[in-house]
Amino acid sequence: MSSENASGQRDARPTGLQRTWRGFRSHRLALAGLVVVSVVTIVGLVTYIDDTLLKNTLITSIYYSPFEPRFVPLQGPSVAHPFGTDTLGRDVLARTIYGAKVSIQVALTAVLVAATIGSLLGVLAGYAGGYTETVLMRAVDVMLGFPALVLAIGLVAALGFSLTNVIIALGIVYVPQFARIARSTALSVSNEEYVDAAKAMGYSTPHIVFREVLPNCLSPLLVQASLLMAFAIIAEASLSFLGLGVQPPTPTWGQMVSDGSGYLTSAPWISLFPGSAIFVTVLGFNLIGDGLRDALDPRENAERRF
Amino acid sequence: MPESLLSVEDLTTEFATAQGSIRAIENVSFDLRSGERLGIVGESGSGKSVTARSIMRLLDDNGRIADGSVELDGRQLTDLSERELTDVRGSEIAMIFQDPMSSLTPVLTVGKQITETILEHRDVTKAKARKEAIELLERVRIGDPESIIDDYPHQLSGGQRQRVLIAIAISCDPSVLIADEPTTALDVTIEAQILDLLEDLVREREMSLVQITHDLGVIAETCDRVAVMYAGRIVEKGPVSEVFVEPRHPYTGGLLRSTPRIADIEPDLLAGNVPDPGQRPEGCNFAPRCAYATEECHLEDPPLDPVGAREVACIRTESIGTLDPIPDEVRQESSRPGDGDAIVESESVYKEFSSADSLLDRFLPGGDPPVKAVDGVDISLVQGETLGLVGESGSGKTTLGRLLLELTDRTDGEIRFDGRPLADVPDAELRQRIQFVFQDPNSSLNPRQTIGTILRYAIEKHETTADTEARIAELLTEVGLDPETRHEYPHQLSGGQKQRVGVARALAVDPDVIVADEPTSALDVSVQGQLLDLLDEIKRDRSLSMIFISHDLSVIRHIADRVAVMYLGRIVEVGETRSLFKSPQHPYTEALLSAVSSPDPQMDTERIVLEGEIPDPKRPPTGCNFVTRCPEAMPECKHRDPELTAHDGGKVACFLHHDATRSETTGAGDLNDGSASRPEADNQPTTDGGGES
Repeated sequence: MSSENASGQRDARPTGLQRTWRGFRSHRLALAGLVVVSVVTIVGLVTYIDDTLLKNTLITSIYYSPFEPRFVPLQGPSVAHPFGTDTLGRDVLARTIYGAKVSIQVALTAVLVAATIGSLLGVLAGYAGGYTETVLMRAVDVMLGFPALVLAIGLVAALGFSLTNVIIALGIVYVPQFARIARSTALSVSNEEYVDAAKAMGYSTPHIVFREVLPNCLSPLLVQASLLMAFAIIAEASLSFLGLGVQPPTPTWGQMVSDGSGYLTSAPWISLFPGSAIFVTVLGFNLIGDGLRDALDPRENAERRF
Repeated sequence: MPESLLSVEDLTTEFATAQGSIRAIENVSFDLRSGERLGIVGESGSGKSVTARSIMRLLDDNGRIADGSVELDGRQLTDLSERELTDVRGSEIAMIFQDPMSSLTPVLTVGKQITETILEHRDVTKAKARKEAIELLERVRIGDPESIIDDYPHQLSGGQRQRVLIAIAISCDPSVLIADEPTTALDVTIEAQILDLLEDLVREREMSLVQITHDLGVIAETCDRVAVMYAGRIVEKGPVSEVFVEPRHPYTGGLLRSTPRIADIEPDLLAGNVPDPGQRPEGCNFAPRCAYATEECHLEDPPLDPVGAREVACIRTESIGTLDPIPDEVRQESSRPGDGDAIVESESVYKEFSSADSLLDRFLPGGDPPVKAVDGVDISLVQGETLGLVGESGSGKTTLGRLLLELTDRTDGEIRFDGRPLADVPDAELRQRIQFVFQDPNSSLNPRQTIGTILRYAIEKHETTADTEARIAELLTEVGLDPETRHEYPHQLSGGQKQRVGVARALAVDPDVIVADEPTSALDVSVQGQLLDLLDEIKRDRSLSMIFISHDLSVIRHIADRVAVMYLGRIVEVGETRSLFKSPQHPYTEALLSAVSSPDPQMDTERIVLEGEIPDPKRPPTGCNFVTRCPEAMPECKHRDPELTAHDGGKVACFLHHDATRSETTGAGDLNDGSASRPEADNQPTTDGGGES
């Protein structure tokens, strides 16, 4: 464990980041989750580059497989098409790979939007208290009153079906989750003496909120973010499944599962592979979330057993 | 020589940490005879609590006994299975823990928790167990045990909870009782009660007691023999009457000499810190801090060798001989800077905390009355002096300190800074001229900022042109830290170092007044002394004025020029430190002073043990606040509220002395004249309790 001790006494006690990474590393399942999520993200990035810079040459090379350069619908998995082809003869592997782009894009940006807005509101409510808190948190409670997916469907229906609108809708839907956690953490952090010390110093409120309170609220928010990524992927797939998300011809996993739902007995591979992709990615994010939670929990840090 | 009941031999306990396995205690050996009271004393990190937990085999999952044996009445405890241990724990050897707040289950009534232990170890019916529980509660002197037995722990005060824990511990008549800092979390007057109780119980039941504490005074008063621990080893062991009077080990001597005392003696400080368990030096652990150390000391661990009736772990003990536990240097009374101008003044300041926090509670009738945390306080801090503010928990001393800085809004009253009401002082000026040093160094520094960042923000807030980096180095040097500390995070520093950073931060804005709220209560004796000296030195160098808040009278004695004693939100006595400590006027001050235990076993102090506990500040008694516990209470005290009146050079709020000043025309007259020159803020309103009832 003490491999980093070479550089003298000063480094003997690791910083927070090093400790977190050590804790995370010792969590094998979380590492597996990290690998899965990294693979999906890299695949998403590659398709993005392929889309914008390479004019889809990479993906078409899979579509027009050298072994089978024609479109034949409902083919089972074979060497030419490892995941088979769908009702229009399109390669399921190529479309599954392409679907990663939308999933990751939506989940990442939606959670980022929600985390930014939600954390700020929550920290503000927790730190300020009083009427600010009452007003903000009751608004959040109202939002929580709606089932998340129903609210997302309503928002997308109102805004129109497009990638940006799906992101906006999910971003709004997840604000309360962050706001609640940020508020409760900020509430306890605000009672710490260093916040009083900052007040005694006469620091401005933005200084106290952004420099003293917010950095100490990040751990639980980070865990929440990784868990909500999983939910966002499911929500995006659900919207696509219902035809309310990103519209064809852009392939998404939810859409593909929906496409294949009529052929589950005759050609299960059409739904099976994009469905598995959703499953594995969601699992990956959940495992990361668990790992982060354990690694960031200060009580677990020193625990080593004989 | 009687057979030993508990015999610990070469006990070594190690803990697995991220840095590898660490030995918390090494080769600890001691014997406890039947009916004997043994004290184990040491600073934090010395391994005294680990010793107790190792004996009970109550170590955390990452700890294990690596070597040695624990024999209780001829039985090896180290070899027992968890099942067999359960029979031994509680019935033959019991432990009282430090924190009475977390040692009781909040979801079960007190009675359930006591009967549980009885039923576990003995074959009795539930009804009988309950009867015994009530008897036990009586024996630990809880008032009204019949109703308390059905209360939940949160309904009890800290002192009551500690009594319940003691009741549980003695419920099965153990032959050995281990008390791990049983009074550390309690107030002085409650501490006195609990120590008295323990002593009586041990005598009545012929139990053996292992008293673990950092407080030398507690050992001196309650123990027959003492083992002094340092960095995981016992360094000296022997009868208290010898060890504390003629210490042999340089650490024992140093510890005794550095303890702040009530008497007129300047503590002689030990330099340095207790090493971390992972970073103990080669050879004698104490050698790096020892004034007598030679090269030889750095080579090998010194064995614990018998010297007369004692055992000492020092290879040079022959040549060093016995040491003087009391430093010779007599306290220099700091020349009090006359009656200068008051820089901070408060005039009948009130602070009430309302328990009605929601909108609904505020409009609905009934509910709890507000807590009167500060109840009409007049104090003044004269330029250049140190005013000690002393009181038990719940006395409102911290709240008062926070009110002066406007960290909390006051309910009523006026605070003047530099002659101007606070409302007229611009916020920036107030924040620059008056600063706070917080109690808990673990929570007063932002864990996500390096020391450099913490100081940089403070410096840049108030002066933008200066060379910030140079200022940081200067400040860190001033508080006795290496300027390179700036790159570290708070968790990388020790408690004393963190508190020094806290002081540096307060100094960063170059203030005129510092309010220090129990800055040393979280620190060890030797580190505490160092910090006090630092504060005193800085105060002198920068000619600051300081308000020093503490519950510890010996600390106050050491640092303050003037002392104000608080009880239940009011100031009961103000006076110059020396005269107040020499002849306390208010019965409460008197009791507080007598409750302080002295590390000198030869000093035979008659303690005044106050009955009961501080009343609920939501419902203070009518008349004098202290009337419920006052040994001198007169009928008059129950009806009228005594005002803070000039007496004998100080001020006291007690009818005992109001009458005295009225009747005594001679003698005290001169002193009264002397104090009459000081302007008298006599705005204390007489809140007659008559209307309330």
